[in-house]
Amino acid sequence: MSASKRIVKELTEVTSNPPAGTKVQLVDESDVHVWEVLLDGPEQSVYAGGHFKLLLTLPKDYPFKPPVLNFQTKIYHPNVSNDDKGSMCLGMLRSDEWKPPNKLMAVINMARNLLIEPNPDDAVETAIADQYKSNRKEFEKNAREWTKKFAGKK
Amino acid sequence: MSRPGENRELVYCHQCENEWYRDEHGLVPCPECQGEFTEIIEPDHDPREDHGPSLDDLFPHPPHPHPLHDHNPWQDAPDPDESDLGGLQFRQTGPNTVSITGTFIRTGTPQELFGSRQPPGFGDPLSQNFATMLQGIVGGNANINVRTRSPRPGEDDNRDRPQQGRGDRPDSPNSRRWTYSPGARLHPRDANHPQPHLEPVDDLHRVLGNLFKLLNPGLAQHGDAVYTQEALDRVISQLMEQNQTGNAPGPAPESAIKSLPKRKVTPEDMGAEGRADCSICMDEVNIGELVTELPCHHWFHEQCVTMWLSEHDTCPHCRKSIVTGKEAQPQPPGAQTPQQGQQWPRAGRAMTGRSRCLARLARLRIRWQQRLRERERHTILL
Repeated sequence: MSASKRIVKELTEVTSNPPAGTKVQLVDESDVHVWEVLLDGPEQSVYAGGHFKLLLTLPKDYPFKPPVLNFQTKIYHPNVSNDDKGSMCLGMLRSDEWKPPNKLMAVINMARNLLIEPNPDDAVETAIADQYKSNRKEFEKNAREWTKKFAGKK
Repeated sequence: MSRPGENRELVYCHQCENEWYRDEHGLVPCPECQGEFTEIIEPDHDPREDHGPSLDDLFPHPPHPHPLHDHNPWQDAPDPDESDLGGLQFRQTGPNTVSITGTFIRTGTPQELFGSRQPPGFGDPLSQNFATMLQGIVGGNANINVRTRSPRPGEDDNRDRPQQGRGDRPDSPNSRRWTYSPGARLHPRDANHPQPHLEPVDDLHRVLGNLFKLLNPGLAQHGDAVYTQEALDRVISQLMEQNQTGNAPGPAPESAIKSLPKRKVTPEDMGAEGRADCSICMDEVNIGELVTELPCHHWFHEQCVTMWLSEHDTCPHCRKSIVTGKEAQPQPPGAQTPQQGQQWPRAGRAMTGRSRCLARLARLRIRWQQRLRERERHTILL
């Protein structure tokens, strides 16, 4: 069994039939383990108009270990760490919830869905999560501001 | 009739080591410290026996006591509140040399301040302490050449004082100045006996670099040794990050994996499109090919599923154990602590080896914090 065979298969699947508003490519053609995902802020979300660059890194023992997802574009979101890593680590991306049949297409879709509907109960940025729950207006204002400021240009 | 203690579940708190009956105080939080790392004590698993190394074991005292070991800086100071180090200046005077000057301002009679109780060599206790500190950084037997100036010309004192009598009057009769002259370096030498000139063990600017690193909590880490709470936190966070699978089910027994039945792929296994693949490697499988079937009837390539099961006893599809047939429970959302990258052991769950290790780390951190608080209190009292 060769992991890179599966990865190439998945990459072909995602590039030939990408989820709405996404574009996937390899950062370095010779390394199938590092994917760049360009994600447009979904129209119905507060991130509309933003273009987010994500790095999807597959561990050496993929698919036995989950991929790692990092937002390279700064984003105001309860589930994305507000640091230089921009980690998104919840649900199927967590080590104890990951299972090999999960596909990277599903991971990308999950990230996109989280932009539409954040999950404040499994937040990494608790302050943003609290604001999302208690003061939605302020949250939306901040999220839009950050989108404009950090994700405005392609 | 039931005797007390019999058939009652005893709960143990990993944070404060408290114990209580579950029917009296429940499972969480701990009635004592409100902590949430609690565990039921079972006959075959007693967390109390699982106490990890103490802080003293983890950070053992070196066989040769550190120069600052058991060192009380204020032991000889007449009034610690009045001692003050002022005007400390570090100046690079050459490629490898640094000049340091500073003033200790103290009040008291000359006898109190510079009494005969002190060992000769470095002058008053404060500059002696500073010298000891530098010595501690360099380690070994390095001698530091401290030049001190007399508080008053003509004071009856026969200690090592090369610049005595140069006419540099201190700021006040009751203060004392000391200087590091340009070119002061740390030589492994014995000042009392003639020795061949040896290379300095370290240049002062490097020593000072290390010293400043110590003062900056972000950098106060050297290998496994830490000097501040922040540095310890960082080490623990890192360890926890590296052990993120804390609560994932452990491996399935090798015998159980080996005894899984193998069967041939049948036409019924083919999906709607008339094809099927192993969902681990995603390679297509053909009718008649040999696959391994789990008790939950999900099937995979033998090699693929063996690799997974030898890490986690769950079906890659439905998460049922191949041993017990029970489904592994995913962690409820929100059970995770807010800190990013950290995964704390959950309250009241059976702990795996790894999560026990994490609980141990959490305990260590709490003790470390307590110790720091105690030290702070102690310092304030002083």
